[in-house]
Amino acid sequence: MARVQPLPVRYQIVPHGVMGMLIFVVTEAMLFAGLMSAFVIVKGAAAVWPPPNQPRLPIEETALNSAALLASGAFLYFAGRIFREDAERARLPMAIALALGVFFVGFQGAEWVGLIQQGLTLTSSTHGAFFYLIVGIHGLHAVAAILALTWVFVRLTRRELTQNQLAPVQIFWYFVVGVWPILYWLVYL
Amino acid sequence: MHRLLPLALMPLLLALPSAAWACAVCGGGTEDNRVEFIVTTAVLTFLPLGLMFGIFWYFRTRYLAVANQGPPRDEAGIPRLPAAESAPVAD
Repeated sequence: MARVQPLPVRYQIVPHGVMGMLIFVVTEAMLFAGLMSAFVIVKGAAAVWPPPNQPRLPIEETALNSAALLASGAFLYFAGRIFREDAERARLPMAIALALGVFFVGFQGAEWVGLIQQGLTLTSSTHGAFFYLIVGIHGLHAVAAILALTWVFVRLTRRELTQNQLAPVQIFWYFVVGVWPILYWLVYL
Repeated sequence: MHRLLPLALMPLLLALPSAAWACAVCGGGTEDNRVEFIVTTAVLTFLPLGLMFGIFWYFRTRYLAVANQGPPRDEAGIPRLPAAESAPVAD
């Protein structure tokens, strides 16, 4: 006579989206670490930095923009906490997080236009090349994160958003927010 | 013998450090530059190790949380196993 014997039960300890995003963020962290290392070594080798006859970066304005990005990360954190209890109430903090992210990217774009008009370009010096490369790659990540956050927000308004969909986007946004102060400190200050 | 000649001459390359000017560190040659090279080398070495350790630590924490929670149970407290996880076994 046959009897039924349960096989070892498998439990998911981490959602697939979170797992994939964590691996992706690790590779992205190494990308930024490589760029920052190259920048630091080239900067250290230069007799004067930034090179003479090159425009200075707008430190104060970018500090304000950095505060907006950090606030965006905080609002998304609170949106995530509220979402677990009441999804409806998470709309406002998530909308603010999204708006602050869009503000950050828009402000960066305006800053770039000003710097290009002042003569800082990709080919004007190693300073310009590293600035546009590092800040530009971060900007690309910010745009991708905003698109993901927009998708999350649309699903939230349609009441289709799940925790497993929100968590990977949160991780990516925290990465974009978390790496920025390091870039600001290295490139701007 | 002529095959081994290039190998035998290879150590002579060590006497040509100026050929490495393309390297930012060799080209810079300042004390600051040397320190920054060491620091960035350390960062690039330990950062991936730290990130991987962090992920494994997170998995371990999640695993322990799930393991302590035990299998999902019904109202009577009996462990609920999915049908797909059970299979008939012949005696």
